[in-house]
Amino acid sequence: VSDAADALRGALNRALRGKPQVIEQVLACLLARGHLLLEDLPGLGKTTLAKALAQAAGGRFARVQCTPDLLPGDITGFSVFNQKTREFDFLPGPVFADVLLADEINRTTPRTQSALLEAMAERQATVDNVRHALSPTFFVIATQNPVEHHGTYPLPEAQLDRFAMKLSIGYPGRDDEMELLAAAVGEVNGAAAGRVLGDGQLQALQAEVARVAVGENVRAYLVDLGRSTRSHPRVTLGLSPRGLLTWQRVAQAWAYLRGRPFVTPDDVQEVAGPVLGVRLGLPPDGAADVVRQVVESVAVPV
Amino acid sequence: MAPELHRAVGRVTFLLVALAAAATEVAADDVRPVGLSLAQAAGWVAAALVAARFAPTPNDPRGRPPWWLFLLLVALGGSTFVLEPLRRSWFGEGYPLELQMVAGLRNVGLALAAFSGWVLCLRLAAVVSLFLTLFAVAMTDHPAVLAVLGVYTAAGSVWLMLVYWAGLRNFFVQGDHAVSLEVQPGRERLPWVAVFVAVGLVGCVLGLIAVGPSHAAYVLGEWLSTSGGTGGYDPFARGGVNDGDDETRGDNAKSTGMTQTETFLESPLPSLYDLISETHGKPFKAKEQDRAISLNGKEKVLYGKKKPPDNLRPNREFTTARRSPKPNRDPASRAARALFEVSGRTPLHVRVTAYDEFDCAEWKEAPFSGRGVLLEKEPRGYWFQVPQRSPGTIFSRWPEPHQFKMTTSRGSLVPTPPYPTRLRVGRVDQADFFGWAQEGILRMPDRSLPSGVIVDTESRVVDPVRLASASLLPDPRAAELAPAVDPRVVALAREWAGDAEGWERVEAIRRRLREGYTHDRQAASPEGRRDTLVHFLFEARRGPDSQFATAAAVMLRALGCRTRVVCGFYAAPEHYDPLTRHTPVVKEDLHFWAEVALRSGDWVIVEATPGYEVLGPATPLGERVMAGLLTLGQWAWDNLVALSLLLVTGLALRRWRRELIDAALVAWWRCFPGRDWRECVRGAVGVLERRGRWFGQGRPPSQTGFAWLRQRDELARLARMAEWAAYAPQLPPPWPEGEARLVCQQALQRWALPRWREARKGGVR
Repeated sequence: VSDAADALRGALNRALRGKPQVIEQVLACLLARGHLLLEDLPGLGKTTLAKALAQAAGGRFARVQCTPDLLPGDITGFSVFNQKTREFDFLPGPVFADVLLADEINRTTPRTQSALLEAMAERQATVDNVRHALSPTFFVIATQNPVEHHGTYPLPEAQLDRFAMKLSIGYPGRDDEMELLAAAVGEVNGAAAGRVLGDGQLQALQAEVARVAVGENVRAYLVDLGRSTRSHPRVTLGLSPRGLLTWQRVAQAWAYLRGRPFVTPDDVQEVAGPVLGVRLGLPPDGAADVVRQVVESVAVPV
Repeated sequence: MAPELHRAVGRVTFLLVALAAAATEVAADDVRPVGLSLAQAAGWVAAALVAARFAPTPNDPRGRPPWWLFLLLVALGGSTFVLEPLRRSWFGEGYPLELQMVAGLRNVGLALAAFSGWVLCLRLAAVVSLFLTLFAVAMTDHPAVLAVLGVYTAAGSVWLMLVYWAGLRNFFVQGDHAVSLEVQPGRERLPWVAVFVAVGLVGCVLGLIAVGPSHAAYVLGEWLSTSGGTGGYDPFARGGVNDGDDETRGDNAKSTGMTQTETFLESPLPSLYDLISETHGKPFKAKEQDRAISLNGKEKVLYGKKKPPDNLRPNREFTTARRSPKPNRDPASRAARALFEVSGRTPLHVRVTAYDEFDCAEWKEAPFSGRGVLLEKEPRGYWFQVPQRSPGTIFSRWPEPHQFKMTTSRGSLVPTPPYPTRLRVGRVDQADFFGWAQEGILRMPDRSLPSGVIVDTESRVVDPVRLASASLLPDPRAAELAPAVDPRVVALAREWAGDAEGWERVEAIRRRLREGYTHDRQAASPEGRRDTLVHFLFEARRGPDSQFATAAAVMLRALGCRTRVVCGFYAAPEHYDPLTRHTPVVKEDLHFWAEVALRSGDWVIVEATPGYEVLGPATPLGERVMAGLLTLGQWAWDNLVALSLLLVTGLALRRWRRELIDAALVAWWRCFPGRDWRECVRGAVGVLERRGRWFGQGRPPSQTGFAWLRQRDELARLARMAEWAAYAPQLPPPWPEGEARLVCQQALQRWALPRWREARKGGVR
């Protein structure tokens, strides 16, 4: 693993204590050029994580608090008439940041949610028929509250498929909370994480991840797993080819973070939960079970 | 249907089809051993299992199966018709049309079961299995089919239960899947097709009942080309007049073969004497012909008084304007393979003629004893009781049933076992049709038993154990033998008998003849010589069965026993035909044997010819099992050392089988580690995995070798190598390639079998 990735990991671990596993998955998601859906309760560090990520990666950070009255233009930006130049000037919205935190994304209307589709999938935004390219390392962290369902608009499957992973941060351990409290004594604004990646370094990392080798037997294994999700009786929506591609890329990132130049079925299995959890139609009470069954139903190549 | 339930239903359906295939196979050929039929059925089922293994899993089980499956089913269903001609020409055996159809249907059923991922196929397979089972049950009453039917019923109940439960499952939906149902107002449309089918079925059943089931069945049967209705002839047909060689009951004696008919025919047919000449050669006249023998006035030659049948007379005219000849479908035109066929236990001696007086070269037919009592008809049926004069102390308790089916008439002979107690000849109900030719030999005086008649008999069987204590009837004529028989024969008889008394004498003579002489059907006495017995006993020491019989009879007579020589037929057990379940008796089965009279009045067969046996009493199953066990025990005792060695070796192999297999595998790995380091590592991991599997710590299929090896001490390095070997495509390893073999060797040594055993006891470490 390059030092850059290690530095990024260290910065994030300092920002979000006691969650190295989550940090690892977030890193994999970032290096795989995927977007992240955090499904968690308020106050568990979602914003902290997103901000730390943006700061450490050296990018711009933007945050949108999604509400029912949020309009697509509030996200993508809009054109205003400039009296001086007698022309419309484009005012870029938050999607033009490097890391976008869309908080409580399921509170906004499907119309606004859909505005994010193009940005997430193609890393571009079209406003007034003009296409604007987004940052090449554009990374969305969306959050949603699993408890409340009133007044929410569940994300459609098409939107969900654009996310690489769904994660829950969860409560920290006791010791971590003790440390958290200790660190907060005397702090006023919170410690800002320093920038650890230089310009273009994240892009380089992502390119390196894309080059991690995937053997033919592992590819066949991935395909078999994908097909088994489609025939699993409790899965109402199977894995799409896009989902399969995402899974492979995340597995590549995972192998890269492990310092391995090739992907193994272990990588595939370890990222199966968050990757499948976001895009398969799974029963809410037994999602983990179903993913386990899918993984166990296919023999690994040896 | 829930998937796990669908799988369960699929398995039970497969079982149903497999049972149906077994039942069909048994019913198709119910005379061969059941094991063979079941093995054949197992072959078909195994093929279906293999097909099921490769059958695709449908995404939507309730969807329509692919179109090629329909083609496959048609091909499988029709394959039997295509293969049948090849089977007939290559193997000389075949199935009638209905069995070809059933075999095709069985193929279809197995294929449907193999593709039971689709609900439609699954249900069709169940229907096919039901049809096949019912067909098999209707076709035969073989006990194996009934047993299969029992299992089928049980499995069918389970099948119904599962399908019912699967239907119920649709009502018990998990909370997260529950949706509210919207009930559509409006009238439900009647399923018109189903209504029409139901009405049609009911109409058909009512029509069948109205016409009469037997008539309807007859009419339906006419549709089958092998039922006789269409006029076709199939050598492999199962039933129907004129259809196959196994003809069945009919009204016309000429049109049917093995039936119980009351029609009797009279015709001049070849006599027994022709048969003897054919099988035992023609007699020659001895040189010293100094006696004149007059014909017995009682023996009359009967000639047919009718003119010869028309078909034996030549045509007087011949015209060239003719139609093409038609093949003769008259069953009588197909030659019978035997004189008569015996159903029942064999070997069986069937007496034809008894000879009494012997003048050193010729036997004279014994005169009619005159003491014979006519048969007594039973009040009901056509059975006759044979009056028993003797108390029957030498016989076993159980009556022995036999059936004789006359195929070629042999004059007035009524074939019976040696000691009949009851008999039935077709529908003959007059006792005066029968008469005794000689003692124990039944005839129909002045009549011929026609072809096709069946003689049912019940008889007693001599128990050799009881025979030992039987007392022999002395022959007052023993003294008269001296001038006719060479004194050397008498001396030899005395020498062989020794001090033996009673039945033991008979046994002694019989044993010496059987052991010291060779049966040779072709052996003949020197031309012109009269003392053939001396030639046989002292010079040739080989001869036909008549010489054995003569020797036994004469020698026993010399010892003072009352004996006779009997000519008859011998139903040999080795000729038993399992297909027809009969033993055919051909003219080559003509046989001579000696008989000894007991004081009780019974003539007991003395079979002196080697290779011929006398029917013994039927042994109960328990005794046979016991005898088998005793024989087994005896054999085991005789081979105790070898068996012990075998047992010890077997136990040792069982005890150390893992060590042996493991040593062999490791040796193989050492000798042939593979072409590169990857194969070397894979081989070593394979050995380790096998060890783990033996001790309950095998690698689950969804776990990688790396993850599995990593759980164990000292195997981390091998785990990493295994990972590289398996998944790193064409990447150079971060270690010298030679190191891999060393690491593998260390791993194999450190994690040898004892360590795995310990690991099982103490958890993975």
